Amino acid sequence: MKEKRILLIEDNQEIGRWVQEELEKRGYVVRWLLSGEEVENDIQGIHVVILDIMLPGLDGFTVGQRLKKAAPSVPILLLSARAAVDDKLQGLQFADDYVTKPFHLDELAARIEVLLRRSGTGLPDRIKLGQHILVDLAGRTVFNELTGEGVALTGKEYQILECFLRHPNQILTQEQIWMAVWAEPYINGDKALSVHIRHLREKLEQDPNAPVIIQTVRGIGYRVKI
Amino acid sequence: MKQRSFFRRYLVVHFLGLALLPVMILMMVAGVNPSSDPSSMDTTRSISGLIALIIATFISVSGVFFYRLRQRLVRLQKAMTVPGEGSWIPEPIPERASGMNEVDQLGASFNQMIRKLRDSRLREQEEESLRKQLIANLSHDLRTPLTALRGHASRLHREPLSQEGVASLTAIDHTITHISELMDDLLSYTLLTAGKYPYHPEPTDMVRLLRSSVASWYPAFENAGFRIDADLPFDATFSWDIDSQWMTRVLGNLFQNVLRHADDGRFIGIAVDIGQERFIIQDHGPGMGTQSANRGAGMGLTISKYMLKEMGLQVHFSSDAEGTTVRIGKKLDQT
Repeated sequence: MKEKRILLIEDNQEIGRWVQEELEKRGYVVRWLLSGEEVENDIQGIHVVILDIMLPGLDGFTVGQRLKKAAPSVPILLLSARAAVDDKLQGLQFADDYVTKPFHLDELAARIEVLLRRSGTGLPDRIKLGQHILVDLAGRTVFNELTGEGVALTGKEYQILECFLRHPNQILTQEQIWMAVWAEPYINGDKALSVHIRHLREKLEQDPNAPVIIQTVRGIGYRVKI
Repeated sequence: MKQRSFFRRYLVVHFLGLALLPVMILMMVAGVNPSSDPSSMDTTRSISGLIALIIATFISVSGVFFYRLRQRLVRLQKAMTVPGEGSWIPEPIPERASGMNEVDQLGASFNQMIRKLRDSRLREQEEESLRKQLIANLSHDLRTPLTALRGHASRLHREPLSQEGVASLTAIDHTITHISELMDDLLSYTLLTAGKYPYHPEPTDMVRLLRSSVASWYPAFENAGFRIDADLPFDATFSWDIDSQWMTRVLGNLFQNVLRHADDGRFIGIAVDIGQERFIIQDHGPGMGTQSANRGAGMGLTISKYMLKEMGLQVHFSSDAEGTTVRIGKKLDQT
């Protein structure tokens, strides 16, 4: 498992210490700073930034914008006591997520995982699906352990599978999958996605009529549980 | 109704009277001294001319006086009825530095009243702004210690505790969540009623929005052991001109209410009526008449109703001991 490094910028001692301890217990490596001055020097090798807004000196909005300029690919999660919609909208112009205090550490950790997965850091190199399918994300290959053979997926089929793996255990609507894979708005009633899902099931499931890997959630969408 | 002007009528009578007067005097002079003596005739003409001149001057001066008086009164009336810029309070009228007559004094009294009204309005706005700022600051200032409190509770959770200790910590955690939600609602309500809650309506695919919202709440219902019946078609929809963030918040509030107050029924039904353009959310809880242990002041629901109304939508709740049905639509019959 890759080491996940987090930069925490929080001026409140009690909160900073608590978040650092809890995240370290969950296996993250946490570097905690009390202010955002000169923070660009600390961004190297960081996978996620957790940033408070009300900081001494430079505020979180300014620090976040500087960080985004210095390292655009590193996701930023704003952690703030400012709950007004305007603050959230301002923050989300550069940040990838916004959590208001008082938060639950479980929720914070779940959101960090989502950010890591989105940026490609949080996913393991290999993922087992059901009893027999092994997906090698680094090599972009799929292996069926029952037959001992690789599973040949088309480009779109693999992209759809990867979309599910980036959002494990999450129900995705057809619109969300379409936007993620085709990068264009979904047109109601389009059957193309259903056809791709059927083909994927025929290649991955032991019984495509009773799917275990790609579940249908009636009226809502699909889900892959890991 | 057309208004009759007192001054206009007065002026007409006044002028007619004054115009007839010299003619009458001339006729009287000619009647008293009908002599054909040329010198007498000249004297009579001179006297008549002088009288006519005096009267004409008097008429002119009176005319100007009354015309100006009327103009000033009309200006004053207009100033009293036309609202000022950015406010319903009229603008003050220009005042003379000295030599004020009754009309000027009336204007000055009017200005004084305007100033008092403006001061009072300004004070009211300042107090309102201060109150809102106070709520926003309070909401912010309370969140930080609440977070620290949750941190301490979380640390305590790892210590060996009795059953009562664990139950107390769980209660503390729930209370922190509850206070946080109350502060959220209070802040939202304050911003909403002040017109400062961002509102960007646009044509929105409503079935898609509902599906997306249900997808995010689905795991919470699953974890709580609910049976979920989502009847949302993939090939039909309708569009409303609404703010999707607002609607997502309203739906979130309704789903949260089902989770909190209707968990006995362990059922949620979510459906759309494409023909009538309606959302229907059903639960099998004990109904809204029953006091739930988790019931608060109902501010979340108040906010939802306010938002729906602002978006031009109606909401109807029908509730009994078998459960509650919520309908949202543009026009609902109350059945």
